[in-house]
Amino acid sequence: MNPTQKIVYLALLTGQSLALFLLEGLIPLPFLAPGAKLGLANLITLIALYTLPRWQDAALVLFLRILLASLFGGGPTILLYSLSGGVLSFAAMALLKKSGRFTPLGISSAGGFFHHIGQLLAASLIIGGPQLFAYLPILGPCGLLTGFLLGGTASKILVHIKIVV
Amino acid sequence: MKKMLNRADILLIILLLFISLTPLLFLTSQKPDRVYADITVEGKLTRRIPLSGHTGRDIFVISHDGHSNTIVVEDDTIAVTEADCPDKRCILQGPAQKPGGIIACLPHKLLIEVKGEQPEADLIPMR
Repeated sequence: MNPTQKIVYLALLTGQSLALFLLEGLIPLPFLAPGAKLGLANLITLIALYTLPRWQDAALVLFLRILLASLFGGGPTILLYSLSGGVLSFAAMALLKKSGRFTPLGISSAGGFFHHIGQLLAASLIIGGPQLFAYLPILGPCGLLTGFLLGGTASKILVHIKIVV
Repeated sequence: MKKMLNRADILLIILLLFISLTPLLFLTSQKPDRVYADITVEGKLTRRIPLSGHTGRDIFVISHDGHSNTIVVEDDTIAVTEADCPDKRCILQGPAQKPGGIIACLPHKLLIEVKGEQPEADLIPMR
C-alpha cells in the first residue's frame, strides 16, 4: 500500500465503523444491563487489526471513530465510556493477536469482554466504588457472545478482503 | 485451511466466562432481616431509606449540580421514575428490591444500592 492508498483505506474503515455505530443506535434492543450493546463497530476494528500492517493504524481508526461518534450523538459521558472500553478492548485484542495462538473468534470474544471491563472500571471511578461490577455476570457473557458473533462475521469478511488489499 | 475455532480460543472464552461470574461470590444469599437503600451521589451517602416494612408510596427528588432524579419508594421496592439525564438508563433499570440490587445513573453520578443487615445472631461470637 502506498501512502495515498493507506489514507483512503483508513478513511473508508473509519467511515464504515461510524456508520455501523450509528446504525446500531437505530436497532431497538431489550434492556439487559447498563452498557450492554452489540458493538457492531468493533467489527471494523477487528478488520483493521487484521488487514493493516501496523497496530497503530488500527488504533487510529478506533480513536477517530470514538471521537466522531461522540460528536454525532454521545456527549462527554459517552466519550469517556467508549474510550475506556475501546482502549482496553483494543489492547487485549492486539496483544492476543500478537501471540499468534488465537483465531478472530477468540480475539473478538475477548474484545467484547474487555470492552465491558473497561466501561465498568470507568464507571467505578465515577461512582467512587466497585459496586457496578455486580453487573459483570450479565455483561461479561453478553460481551463474549456479541464478540464471538462479530468474530465469525469478521473471519468471513477477511477471506474476501485479503484479495483486494 | 486454518480451523475457525481452535483450542486456545475455547480455553480463553471459558476463562473469561469464569471471570465474569466471580462477582457472584461476593453477593450474600442469606436472608437479611432489615433491608434498606443507600443513595449516594459522587460517592457520598446522601440518604438512607428503610425498605423492609415500608408500605405505601413515597416520592422524592434528589437534586445535585442542576441534575435531578425522581425516586419512588413503593412498599419494599425503590425505583427511579424520572430523570433529566440524556440516556434514561436509571429508569430502564426498573425497581430494585433485594439486597445487592443497584440502580445507577452515571451521568448524574448517582447510585442506589439496596443493602441488607444480617440477622443479629451472626454477630454473637462463638464461645
